[in-house]
Amino acid sequence: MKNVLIVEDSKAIRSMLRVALEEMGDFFAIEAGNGFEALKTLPTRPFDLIITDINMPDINGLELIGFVKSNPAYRNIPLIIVSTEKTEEDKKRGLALGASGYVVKPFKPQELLAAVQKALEGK
Amino acid sequence: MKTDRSLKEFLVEAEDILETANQTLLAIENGLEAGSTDPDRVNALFRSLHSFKGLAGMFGLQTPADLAHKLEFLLDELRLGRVSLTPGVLDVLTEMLGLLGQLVVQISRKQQPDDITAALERIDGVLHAGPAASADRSLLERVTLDRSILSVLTEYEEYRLKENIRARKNLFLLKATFDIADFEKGIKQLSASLKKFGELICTLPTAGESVSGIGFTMVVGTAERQEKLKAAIKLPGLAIETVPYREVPRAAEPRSAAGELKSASNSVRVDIAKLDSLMGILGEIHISKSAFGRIAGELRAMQGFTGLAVDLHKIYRRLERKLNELQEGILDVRMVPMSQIFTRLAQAVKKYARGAGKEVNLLLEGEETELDKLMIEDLADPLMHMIRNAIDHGIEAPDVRTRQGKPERGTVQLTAFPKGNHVVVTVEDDGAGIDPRVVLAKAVEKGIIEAGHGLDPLADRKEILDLIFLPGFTTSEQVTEISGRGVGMDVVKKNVSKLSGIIDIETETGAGTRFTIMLPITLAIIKALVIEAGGQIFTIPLNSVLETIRVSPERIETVETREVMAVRDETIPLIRLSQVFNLTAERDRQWLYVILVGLAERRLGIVVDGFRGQQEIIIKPLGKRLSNIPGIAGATDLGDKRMVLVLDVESLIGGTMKKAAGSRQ
Repeated sequence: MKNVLIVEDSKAIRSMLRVALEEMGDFFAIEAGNGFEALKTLPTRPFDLIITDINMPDINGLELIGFVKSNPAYRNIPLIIVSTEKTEEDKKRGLALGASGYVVKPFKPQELLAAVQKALEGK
Repeated sequence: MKTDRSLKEFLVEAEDILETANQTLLAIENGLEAGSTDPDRVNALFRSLHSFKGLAGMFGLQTPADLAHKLEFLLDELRLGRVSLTPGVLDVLTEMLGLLGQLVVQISRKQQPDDITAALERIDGVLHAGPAASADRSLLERVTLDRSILSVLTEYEEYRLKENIRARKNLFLLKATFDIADFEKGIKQLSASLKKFGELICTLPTAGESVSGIGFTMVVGTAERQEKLKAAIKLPGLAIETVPYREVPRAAEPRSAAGELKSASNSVRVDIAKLDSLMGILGEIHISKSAFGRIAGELRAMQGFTGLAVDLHKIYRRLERKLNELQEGILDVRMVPMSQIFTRLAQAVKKYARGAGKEVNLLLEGEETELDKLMIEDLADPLMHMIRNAIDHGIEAPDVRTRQGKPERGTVQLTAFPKGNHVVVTVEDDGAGIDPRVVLAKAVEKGIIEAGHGLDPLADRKEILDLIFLPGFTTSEQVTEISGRGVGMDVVKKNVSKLSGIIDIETETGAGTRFTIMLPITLAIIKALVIEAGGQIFTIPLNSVLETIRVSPERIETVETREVMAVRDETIPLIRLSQVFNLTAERDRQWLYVILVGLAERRLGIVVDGFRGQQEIIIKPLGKRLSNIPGIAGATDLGDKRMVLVLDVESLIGGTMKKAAGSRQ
């Protein structure tokens, strides 16, 4: 069982991601509706993967990635960015910060699974 | 597909987002009335539309996703300062949020959503994107901020930081630590009090000193001094540091003793908007200059070439010369090398080739060729599209290539070179080429031409290949969800035409295809020929004029109801502007004038009554309503307070080509 943290401010998309992951494989997904929630959730269990949106209030996805990658406790958790073509530039910055991959909204479950598998293998 | 339950999830959230968006918009409106814009609110509105689009997209609801996509684009331009927030833009936003709400209601009632074409156009109407106000990164170099902070900024945060630097706001770095269990309340209070002083540019979480702690680093831009901040915000353990500005080296420092300390480069970065505004002023001066010249001419006609008339004439000539030098100087500053987009295209080639399962080498040539900065930006999309076409449809799969005795790796070559006042850009591939027979079959299938067209794949090859530039021809291009754009060659051609460029195609079945684009090096000011036809004055860009010929009416012949004229060995089709625009016919004259214009290998003669000379003009777009009249590129002021129309040579030639094809039936 892999623990996945889903950080996304849209409730509907968040639960879509969770359902997709849980249907596709042996994943247990925890939802966080914003960056603050993600920060609070991170210490609660050993996560194997983080999937994060970029455009969020308070703390955005890049800042979260920067935090994860500079923190020895979380540094090795692979990250996947959920982006749209409008946040193309920010996606690039996220990859430069060390994210393992990305999916572009709207995405199909297979695309998500492919990105997840790649991220987990690259670990 | 969509279950009622999941649709309900969409509706609940969509309504939520729209409600927030409407409240934010109201706050922005109130702020604007009070004379201030809070960038935070514009960003919040952007985020709402961004979320809405993502949501609608994930639920496969195309119409609201499309509208939200467009609005998101507008808001992105607004928050990045490329479009300014005016009451007119606010009206559009209010209206469009209303429309989005309506679409949501229609979806909930399982009705067909309204057509949004007009709405999309209305948004386009306010999208006069200028260059980003803080496009250059050099602003960031003016302050000393840690790389670890700069690297996690989003594009928007970086823009806000630059805006604060530009305004020379005091920048402060705040560091606070909270307990992980209840940091949220603390950080939110801190954010709220900071926002009273200025702008909270970013909030970065950092690892706390202990496992149970979490730190935050914030960058704030404010007009206030550090003492005031310190006095107002009481938080144990809060550290406030000033972000120092670097002293900008003075440009005109005369040779200092420490010669090695001098910067190696003497260049300055200039926002293109500043050059645009200089060019605009220059354009106005040109118009005054033309008026000046007219007065000098009239004076000369009145009192002969004596006294004041001579003086005025001399001064006019000197003014003209110096203005031209000034103009060339400014134009020169606007020029940037093509390498600026070539590099980006090279990356895209790698990506697309990989995606398409093909092996492609990209050769670049003439990267140092210079073109107007703004034109280069607008050229990127058409080039990208042509390259994608070359990879998708041109280059064959590796096994097919091997069988044909070609190298396994295909080649796409991008070349740029200057040619007089023009730049020629070619996109060439060594793929399968375009078969005129296939084009013809497809054009018939698509209803672009009728079945009894009488075109012969060999004899009318050129004409047939031109069909790929017509709207509705492209089909194989799927509109991908990822890139969001799928365009045909008609759009490429339209974009190239917007740059006053022309595009041409050469192809050989089995050997490859080459597209050639020819562009003027700048669009800022063009030289034009002023002509008279059917009692009206027109101008025609000089860069598309090949020659002007004075002819007696007898030289014009009629072949199959079309007027033509022999020029040297060629038979040139003619048009009369009076017929194209339904004007009073030219009177019988002893002499007529034919302006020979050309696009690639195509020639057209435009019959006019007379010439009024040449002049520098700035083409101004016609209003939205008139913008699609074939044959007209825009309007210009000739300096005598009259607006005259500027002819669009490209569409005039296109028009006769179509008529020629039609008359064969």
